[in-house]
Amino acid sequence: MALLQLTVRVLRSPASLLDGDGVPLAKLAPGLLALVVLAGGLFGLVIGSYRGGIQHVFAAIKLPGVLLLPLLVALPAVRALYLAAGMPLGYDRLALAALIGVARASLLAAAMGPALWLMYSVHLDYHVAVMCLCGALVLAGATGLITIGQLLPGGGRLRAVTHLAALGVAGVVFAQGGWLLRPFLVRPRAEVTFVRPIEADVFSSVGAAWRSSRGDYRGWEAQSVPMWAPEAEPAEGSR
Amino acid sequence: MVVTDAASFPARPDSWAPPLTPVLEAAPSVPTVLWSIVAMGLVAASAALGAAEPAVVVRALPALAAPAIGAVVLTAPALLALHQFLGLDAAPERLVLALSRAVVAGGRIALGLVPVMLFFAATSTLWPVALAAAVAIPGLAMACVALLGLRDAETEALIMPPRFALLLVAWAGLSLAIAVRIAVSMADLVLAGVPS
Repeated sequence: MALLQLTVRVLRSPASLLDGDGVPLAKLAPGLLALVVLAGGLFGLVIGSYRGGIQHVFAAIKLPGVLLLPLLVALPAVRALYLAAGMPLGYDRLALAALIGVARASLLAAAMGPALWLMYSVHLDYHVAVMCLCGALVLAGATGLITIGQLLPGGGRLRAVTHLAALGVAGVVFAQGGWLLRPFLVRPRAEVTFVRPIEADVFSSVGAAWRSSRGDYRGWEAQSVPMWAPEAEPAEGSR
Repeated sequence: MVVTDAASFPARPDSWAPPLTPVLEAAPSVPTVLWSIVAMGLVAASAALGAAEPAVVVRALPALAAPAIGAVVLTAPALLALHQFLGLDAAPERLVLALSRAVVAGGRIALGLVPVMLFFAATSTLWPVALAAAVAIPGLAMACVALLGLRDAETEALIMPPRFALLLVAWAGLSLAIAVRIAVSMADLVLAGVPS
């Protein structure tokens, strides 16, 4: 199936890709992965435009990784949750539904790219830029999650609770993956790097951002703990 | 193993009567249940890998299995005894089957969480939180599956007999209290000697 045709079907009628009860994962997976890489890369390119230069390339390379990481890490847990709820769900069906959902979210994010680029091109404040990025990701991500929910088989019990639990597991992995592969926007005075050293976690960063919003500007690095060395001094120049 | 008991019950005129046709249910095999317990150990150990101390990893092995299995083992006899004492309908085998299925579901979820725990152990300093999640998520899922299974074993009607509902609530409360008590001891054991 040509990539353009696949794009149209992912956007217009994702359920038609399931072929009844059949799950053509092997046939569709390469095309869907290509869509995620292309559309996610395009969205990453737009994000990188906030800082410009080599960050264009860095963000374009990393963003598809952030989108695909939950599929690799969280899919077994999500399947186990659905099985426990009594939904007969195979890996092939779940993987295909997740791939279609991620591809759809990536395409929608890419479609929001021009508007985001326009905002970034007028030198938006860093925090406003972050909020715009989060808004775009939430919009695209919600659509992707709804798509995944619609493509899963019916039946089972506590379906809403299971959806929420699966969303929680995948969301936490997505957040930590994004934190791991940061920076994407890059603060105006920060150094551009492909990835930052592994330290602390996404939740400590959220906590620091919350404190900052209330006027307490102690950075998260003030309380960070370097990995694998609990007794060592806090990392130097971590931001 | 095939369990069937519905045929042994006469049809009842009220809405919560057991089904008229025999219900054939496959019980989880003993190796499956044992593997589930092993999976519970694996998920806890995976989360504890973030501590980067072999002793902590070893001590974390029973962090999930002990509260989960402990609660089931300690409360199941009381559940079965009170169920029979109250003259409720389901055969004891069906109740045991429901509990064993809950253990298998908990183990399956624990196994599914292993990659997530390894990811957080490798990329963050959140191992105590990850360990708590590794205990709470399968534990809560086990409780839900057990409650639904026990309910299904007793009746297919929407509204449960009041005596059975009371028994379920009491059993759930007791199981939760025992699980929390064992989990607190496990937390003390795992965190002993860990630099704060």
